[in-house]
Order: sequence, then structure tokens, then C-alpha cells
Amino acid sequence: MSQDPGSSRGAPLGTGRPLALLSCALAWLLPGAGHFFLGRRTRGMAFLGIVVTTYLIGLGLDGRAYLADREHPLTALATFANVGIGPLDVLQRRATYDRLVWQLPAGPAREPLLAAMRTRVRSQNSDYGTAFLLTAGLMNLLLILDAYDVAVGRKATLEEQPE
Amino acid sequence: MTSHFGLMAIFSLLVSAFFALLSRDVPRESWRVFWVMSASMILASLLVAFVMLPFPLG
Repeated sequence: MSQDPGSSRGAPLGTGRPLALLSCALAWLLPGAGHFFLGRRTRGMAFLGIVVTTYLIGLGLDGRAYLADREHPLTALATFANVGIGPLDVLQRRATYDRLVWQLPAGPAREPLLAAMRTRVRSQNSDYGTAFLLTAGLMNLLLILDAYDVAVGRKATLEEQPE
Repeated sequence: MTSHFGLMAIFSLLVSAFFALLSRDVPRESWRVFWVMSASMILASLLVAFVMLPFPLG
């Protein structure tokens, strides 16, 4: 998170760890809410628009949510990226698997989930949609880290410049 | 929308807008980052597609 040296203005918030954690939690619950809470309202609204638009385009393109699979450890990272979007993650899991599931189980319960995933992947735009969904989750993870930086004063300004 | 180029352009614009807002505080600099980044992503994608043209699809 680089900060433009010429853009420092106003006093750093220096609000301490509890408020930083609260802003991180808000940022996870709703993209941009952490920045909104910390006084960067215009920026927070813009982040909300960008991340949610990316997410909705991903859903509209039949993107699929990943499931953590012990046989393929890297799927845990993709699942983490999906979960980064916050409670909205529920929508993509419902759309893909018609239930709330984050891990691919062993045994007979595995096959219906794989079948649901295959059905979703058959869609022409599914790969694009999946990329949009992953990107939306990763964007929100970056927003959480940025909200933390703002809250502890590493990147804080009280005022936003007029847009 | 099923156009590969259209989807790629939308993706580039969204990602560029995100990083422009995240990395710059001054609006003028944000706009500059947005245009440079989105143009770079789109042009780089077209260049890679052109380079891959001789390779078989299958």
C-alpha cells in the first residue's frame, strides 16, 4: 500500500488497535464500509461500487465458487479469496452448489458437489465469471488491509480532498 | 455479454479504478493511474493475444 508522499494532509487518526479491528470487520462485512467508517466516505462508496459490480458481473457470468479440497491444497487459497468478499460469499455458493458449503467432503457427498460444479463450468462464460468473483474477493481483502493501515495511522488523513 | 474483448476491457477498467483509488489520494493522480493502468492492461492483453496467434487452439 504505497502512499503518495505529496498527498499527506490532515492529522493521522492513530486510533489504536480496537478501532482498527472494528474497521477491518466492517470492511469484510461490506466492501468499503471500513473506509466509510474511518471518514473516507466518498472513497468507501466508490470501493463498494467497484467491488460489488465486479462480484455481480462474476455471478451473472456463471462464475463458480471454489471449495477447499484436501487432494488439491491450492484450492484452499482460492476458497479464501472467495470468502474475502464477506457475507456476499453466500450468494455465489448458493448459485454454484445450491447450498452453503466451503469444503469438498470425502465419500458419497463429494459427487453431487462435483456434478454441480461441472454444470456451472459448462457455461460459456464461466471461466470469466470465476475470475471476476475471485478478483472481487481479493479486492476486498486488500481493502481490509488498507482500512487497517488507515485506522492505525499509517495511511491516514481525516479529510478527503474534493473529488 | 460474450465478447472476450468486452469482458477483458470491463475487467481492466474495474481493476484499474480500484487500484487508482487505493494507491493515490489526490484525484488528479488517481485519474492518471486509472488511465495508464487500464490502457496498459488492455494493450498488453492484445499484444499477448497477437503473440499467441500462431499457436494451435487445441
